Amino acid sequence: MPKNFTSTATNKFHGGIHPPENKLISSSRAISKFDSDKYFRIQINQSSFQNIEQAVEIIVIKGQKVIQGEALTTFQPLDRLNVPVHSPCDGVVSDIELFDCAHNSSFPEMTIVIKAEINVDQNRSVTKIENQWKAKSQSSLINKIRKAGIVGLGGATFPTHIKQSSPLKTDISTPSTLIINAMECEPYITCDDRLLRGYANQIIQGALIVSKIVGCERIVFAIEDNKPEALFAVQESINLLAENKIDLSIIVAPTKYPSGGEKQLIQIVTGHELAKQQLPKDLNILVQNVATLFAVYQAIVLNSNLIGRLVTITGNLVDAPGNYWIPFGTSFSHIISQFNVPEKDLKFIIIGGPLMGQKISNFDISTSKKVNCLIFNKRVTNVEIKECIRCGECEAVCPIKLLPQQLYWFSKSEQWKPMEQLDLKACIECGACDYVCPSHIPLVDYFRFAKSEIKHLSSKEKTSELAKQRFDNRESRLTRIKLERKARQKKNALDRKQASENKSVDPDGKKTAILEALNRVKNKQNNTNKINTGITGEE
Amino acid sequence: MKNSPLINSEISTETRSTNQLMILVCAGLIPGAITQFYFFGWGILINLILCSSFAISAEALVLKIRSRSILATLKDNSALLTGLLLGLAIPPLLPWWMSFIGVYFAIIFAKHLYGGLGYNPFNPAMIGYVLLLISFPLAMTNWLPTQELLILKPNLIQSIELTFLGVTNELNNIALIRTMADGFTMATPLDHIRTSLSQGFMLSEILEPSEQNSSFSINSLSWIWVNVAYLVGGIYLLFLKIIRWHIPVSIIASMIIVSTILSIIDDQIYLSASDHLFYGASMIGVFFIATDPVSASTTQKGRLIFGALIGFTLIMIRTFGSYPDAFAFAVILLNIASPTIDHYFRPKVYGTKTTVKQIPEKQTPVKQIPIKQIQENKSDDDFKGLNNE
Repeated sequence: MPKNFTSTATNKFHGGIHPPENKLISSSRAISKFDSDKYFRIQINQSSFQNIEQAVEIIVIKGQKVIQGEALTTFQPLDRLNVPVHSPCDGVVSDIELFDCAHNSSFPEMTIVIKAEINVDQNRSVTKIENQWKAKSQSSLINKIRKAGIVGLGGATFPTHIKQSSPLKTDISTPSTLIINAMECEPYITCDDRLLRGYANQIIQGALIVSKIVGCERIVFAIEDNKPEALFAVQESINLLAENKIDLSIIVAPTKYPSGGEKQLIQIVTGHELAKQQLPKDLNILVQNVATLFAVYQAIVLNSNLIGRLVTITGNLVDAPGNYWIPFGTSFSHIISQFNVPEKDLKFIIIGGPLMGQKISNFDISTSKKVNCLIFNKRVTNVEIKECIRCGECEAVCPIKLLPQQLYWFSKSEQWKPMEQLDLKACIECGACDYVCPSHIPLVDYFRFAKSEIKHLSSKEKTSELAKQRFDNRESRLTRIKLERKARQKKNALDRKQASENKSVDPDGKKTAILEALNRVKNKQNNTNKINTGITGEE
Repeated sequence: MKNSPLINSEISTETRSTNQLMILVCAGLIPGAITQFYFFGWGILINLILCSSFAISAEALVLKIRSRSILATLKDNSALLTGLLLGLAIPPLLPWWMSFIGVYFAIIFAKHLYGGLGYNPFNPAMIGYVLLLISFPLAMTNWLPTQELLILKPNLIQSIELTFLGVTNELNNIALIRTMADGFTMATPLDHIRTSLSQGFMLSEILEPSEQNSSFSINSLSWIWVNVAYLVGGIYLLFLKIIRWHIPVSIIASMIIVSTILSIIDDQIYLSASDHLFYGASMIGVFFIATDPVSASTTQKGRLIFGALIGFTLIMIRTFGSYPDAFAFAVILLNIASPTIDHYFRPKVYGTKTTVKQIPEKQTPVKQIPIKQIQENKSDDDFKGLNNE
């Protein structure tokens, strides 16, 4: 292994911002123990992939005993898209009900409540460490990853097995690359940083597993320069790798938000932009977050399903900010009581980072696979929203090079068509424009609304288009039938006319009958003559 | 109510608010304003105070009529800035009612009838200025000569009297003051040059320092100083990133290019680039008026085009038009064009240019590493049986 496998990024993306990082609040404390609650509320659908036809199905009933890591939901056969959820503890299914969840739409979702109990009667399979993953087939590895319930743990929660099930191509000019995303560019969040410091070896192992699944020629580990400890840990663990069949390198990028976005990361590492409708795999690239790779390692090597994750608990209201292993389904109110957050100062919790996350004020909601950070902050000032002065700062920072200011203008007057022309669809909702806006306009909110409106309208348009097509088809069918009928009638009339004309010459058809009979006789005679002559010729 | 979690105060207060931006632009005017005050006397200060108080009162009045929150909106300081800009643009000792008409027209017609801050297609201060220039051309083109040339220097009281009453106790009126200034009435250098050129003088004669035109050189020097002061203020704005470089740089560049081409053609008729840059309202226009974000172009490419066209229009009107200075006209003309400029000069959205091309036929050689071999064994059938495993 050459020593100089670490290099600084040479490519960069347009715009970007440098918000105050606030990472030291939580990164200075080592991963510590978290006292779990007695009750867990598991949302059955925790991946970003939502499809009514391919919904997950609950396979437990109320009162059923479950063990830690047991699957609570399954997926239909041949359904390759959904991922199951698992019980975070030994216990009993105490309820299955609709409940609020941390979702933008704030619609309630089906949840399974599990009461923690010590089950002695269940046979627990002994965890065996699997070192022979190298000999397994790709499909069995992918299947295992799916069964373990792994989704993208960077916050997007896209099912990992879908990403991995399309192997990287060889017919593209760029080398097939697995990019390990350790950018963690959002302020406050430090869980990936802490995970790397503690489990770099396991993460590299996870990356090797994934690289085997998709068959890539090189692995690039990408990290921002504000995490030197994590970088050191990774360098150490790469040095430890005895032999390397794969090209493994590290790229250190300058700290800039949103460098952790998939498109921006690809731009930093390769210098290429993804065209519209293109996915990373079209550029021969697979991007995976470090937490996802750690989960892959756990699933493949330790045979354990995904039942919890490292969560950053931070903010100025928390008494011991840091990173904790928190099982999925832990309610926010339990976390609030564990960290002695004064509830009277707490108006809302921020899930995820301050730029892309969401605000939650219902504290009965529970954590899920997408919750990588919880910020408990005291609200200091109210910021006033002013009119847009078209200063253009938003354009200067937009990593997609959109014109947020013009998009805002059109969205206020609900002109969706020009917004589509301005490529609203390409917006990654990173919030950089929100951050720099001197008038504090919540631009991304406007864009999200516009996007959903456009989606709604286009689906409506499609339905009406379909209805119109049906109508047109019916009309054309009716006219066709009408024409056919007319043609038939015409033909019948003609036939009748002809028949009646024939009748006038030969009223009861006797003449033709006689003629036909005569012809028949003639033919017969001719035939017999032929035969006779034939015979005589032989004699 | 803002929904984005960004509102998380620790983060969002890091960036400058609109209120701060406006007040910082006002602060950028200070060096220029002081220099103007030094050279042209109390009239400048009176103009500034009058115009800004008119502007604030006009804004408050309209907000009251539109039943908007007055204090919250006044805090954005945009009306103050309009008032200050207009106060610096109009000649000192202008009758107060003219300032009143200019400012009220700017705030009510050019700003609030379009919807207030952020919606005005034109720079309000310049609309007010142009209204005054067209309505009262005599009063608006007669600047006082620099203090040094005045025999009767009006003091504060006299200046106030002149502004409000037109006369002082000593029975001096503005015209008298002007004519007593060394027989020099046409005050601004650009004006003087224009008149002299029309009388058949050559530029070398007009600009050459000599006994006859010593008053001109003294007067023009004061204008150069004023422009230098605005340049300093403008550089401060650029340094604090309150304005972006695109518009100032493109205006200055196009002014230099156009005026240099003209002076190469005939340096006895057409002014040189340095004269254009440091006479008249050039620097305040470049840094403080053309950069008004609301009415300017907003895309980065668009701003370059916007600025270049302002510079071109400015030189054209100054050289061939019937006004000695034309910053207001140039800016307003390009304000009209800025939506179109924005439409045609958008940045290329991410992903519109792709650098990776698919290789159509040729297969790149595959390295034979163990991982690859297993990769090749995989087929789609493996996935179909996923769940049965």
